Amino acid sequence: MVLRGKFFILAVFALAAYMAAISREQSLPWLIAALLTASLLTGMFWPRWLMQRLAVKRTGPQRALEDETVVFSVEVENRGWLPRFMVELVDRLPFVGAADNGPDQANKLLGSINYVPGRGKRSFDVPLLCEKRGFYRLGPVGLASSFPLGLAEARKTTNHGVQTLTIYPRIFPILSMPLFGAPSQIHRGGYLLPDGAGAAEFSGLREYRRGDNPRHVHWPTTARLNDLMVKEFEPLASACICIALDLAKDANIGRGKQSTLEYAIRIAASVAGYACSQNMHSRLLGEGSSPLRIASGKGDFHYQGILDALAVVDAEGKTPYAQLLMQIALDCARGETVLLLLAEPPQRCEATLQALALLRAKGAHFFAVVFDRDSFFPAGTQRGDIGSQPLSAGLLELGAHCLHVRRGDDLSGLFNR
Amino acid sequence: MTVATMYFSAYLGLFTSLLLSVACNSFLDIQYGTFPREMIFWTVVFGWTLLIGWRQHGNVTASAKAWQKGVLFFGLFLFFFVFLRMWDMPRAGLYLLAMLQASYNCVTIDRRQLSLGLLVSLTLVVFAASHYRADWTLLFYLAPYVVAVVFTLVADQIHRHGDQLRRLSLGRSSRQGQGAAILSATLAIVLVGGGLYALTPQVNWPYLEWRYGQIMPNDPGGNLEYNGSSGQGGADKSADDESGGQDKAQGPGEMGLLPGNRWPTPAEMRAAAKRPNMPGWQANAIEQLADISESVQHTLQPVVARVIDLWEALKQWLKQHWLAALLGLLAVMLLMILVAFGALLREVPWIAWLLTQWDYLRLGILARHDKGKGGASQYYGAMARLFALHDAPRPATANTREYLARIVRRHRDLHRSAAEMTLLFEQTRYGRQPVDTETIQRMRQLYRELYRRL
Repeated sequence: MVLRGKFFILAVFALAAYMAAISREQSLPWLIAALLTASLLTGMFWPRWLMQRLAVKRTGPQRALEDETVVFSVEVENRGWLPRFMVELVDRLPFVGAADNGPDQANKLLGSINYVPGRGKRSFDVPLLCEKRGFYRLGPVGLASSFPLGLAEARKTTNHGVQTLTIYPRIFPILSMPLFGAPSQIHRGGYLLPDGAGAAEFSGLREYRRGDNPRHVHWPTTARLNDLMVKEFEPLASACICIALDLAKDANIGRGKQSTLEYAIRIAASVAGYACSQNMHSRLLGEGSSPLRIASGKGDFHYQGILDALAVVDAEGKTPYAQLLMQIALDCARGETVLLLLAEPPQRCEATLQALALLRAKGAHFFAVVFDRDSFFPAGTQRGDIGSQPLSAGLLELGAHCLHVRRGDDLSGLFNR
Repeated sequence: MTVATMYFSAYLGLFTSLLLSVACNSFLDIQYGTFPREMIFWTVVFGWTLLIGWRQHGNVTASAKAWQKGVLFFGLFLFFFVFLRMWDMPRAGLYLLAMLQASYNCVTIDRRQLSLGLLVSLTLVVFAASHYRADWTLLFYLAPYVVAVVFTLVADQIHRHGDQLRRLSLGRSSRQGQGAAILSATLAIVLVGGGLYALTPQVNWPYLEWRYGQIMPNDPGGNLEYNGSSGQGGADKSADDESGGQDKAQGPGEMGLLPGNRWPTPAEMRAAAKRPNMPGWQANAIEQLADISESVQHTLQPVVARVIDLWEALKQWLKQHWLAALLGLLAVMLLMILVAFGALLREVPWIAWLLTQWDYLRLGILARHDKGKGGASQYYGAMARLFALHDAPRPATANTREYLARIVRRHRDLHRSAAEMTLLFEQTRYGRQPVDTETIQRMRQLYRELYRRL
């Protein structure tokens, strides 16, 4: 129960009315004083009573896409016999307004119901825009009322409506990417037969050697020759992608949705979607507050795993991008394409270029997205960065395919140009 | 600063409040027969000016200002050439105030102006209520005025709060149900206020000083207020004698609701209804009120007399048998204390142990049990007391099955016997067959077994 300023003002008026009534020897001042006191009592106790025997339920989806509008249904049930008036429903919805300033933990007003009949229910829908990707805890839903005169506000917190909402990053279509092929590893013993056409081609038979995949044994020839014979495949070029996310705190410029991290995550999700649609292997790595490691894989389930990881990732790490690239170089496959998302401070470019050189020496190809940091700085903030020309020049020397992204760019247009 | 604009219901409430407040004053001159004409005039004036104000929709236009000036000059003209001649000061000043408010109505668009309008109406009502000719018949205008003011304030607040919620809420909200909310809030405040008014002892300073301080002479320095109010209309005093004697009964400047005043009798009500120029609807209402009052009196009189007789008889009986009544009361109190003490004793461990020993002697050894269901209940109760002594008391809300589960959790080795005892007890209570001797004997055996094993 929170008493507002006008409650005390009215209390002073009521006291003054009683003093006048005692002095005036008339009935009307007594009546005025009684009405003022009645207003005080009603304003103080009625909101509290209104909260009794009210139950609220909020239902809605648990997963959504960025920029999608989801609809939450709110139902208020009055279990008492007398009607309830002007009931406000407050809820903790951190994703509302997160696009500009990040998640807001303050309670928001879902709506209000002017009249709930005794033993009755009222419901309404609340369409909400999922502004920014993330993993959000919603609720609990609370009730509030300051009926009838707004003199005091009663609040009631319930245990209902506690749920999670995962908002996945919005992806954009990519029609093609300039990727280089990596030798297929189908001929190695650890791999099964290709599940897609064109990844490997039969080239001949040979004697079985230790370590060969038993599934590649050609049984008719083995029976005819009375010796184990295995099929040999011609390794075909098959692209695979490694998405290297820079999750260092100082590499994230901008606020809310207009930050380099959000752009990078959208690009990463879209590239992963492209890889999934093209039946390519893809993996995701990053060094945030906890390491992000999605092993190489393909298919819808793998893509869903990447999206789940990208929905919750945040730039809270301290590891320089160069260090992540060095880790990638350790298990990099020859011909693998590494998606570089470069938004780090210029002073670390030299170390990054050295790591890239090592990667290049291991046979990796680069698809670099270079963010224009200056364009992402919020208006009125100190910039002081030098340009990204040395980095761009170094990337060109390493044979990287470069894309420059500025704040507000149409990523779909940029990638499909 | 944002201007809080007014809603239609607030204009409606302000119109009603102003009209009723002027009606309270016009009603004081009811005997002159100008009341209907005055009411029509003020209805047109307040209705038109508030209509102009409402049509501004929150922005004062040049035409509204022109109307304001026009009404102001018209009011001044009336003041000098009509009000002063007809009523003299201070009544003429009061009507000038009403005309000034009418002028202000033309530019009334926000909440502050609404509050000012209500304050002006309150001033008019206070003046009317203070007048020496005001009596209980004024309640026909005063009570609706109070309701109208409360309705206006509540409607304004609820509309405003509803709009604020609509602006802030994420979902789409509607105005549906606001009318019910406004009416409920108005009704609640008026009822609570009326109850408080009825309950509050309406004292004054002389009474308080007499009761809690020094004795003061009555009416020190003369009753200046009444003297002042009596001068509100010199020409009006001649009509006092024609008012059916009500004013003499009520005293000057009172409405019949003052401390110590009584509700008028049916005869007084009928006399008031016959006053000259009393509006027809009001006369009819007063007549009906008198009829109702009379029938209520007729109905309640024997009941009240009977209650008084009974009360007197009780007092007489108490006077004669006060010693017996006192001793009886003391005996009841002693009995209640003993019952409470007995309930407490059952909780004492050694008393509980004694009770179980008594149970075993009476039921287990001597087999002095009742026949039929009573015997089964005795054995089950004895078992419950036995287990209560061994850390498995029966909760007050637990049924037999829940209690069995509790016993089993504590004494797993006695599960079979306790379960059979519970089953037999349930069969005797709810079974169709009459309770035979074998069942009671089996319960006795089980009880003895449980006693020995515990």
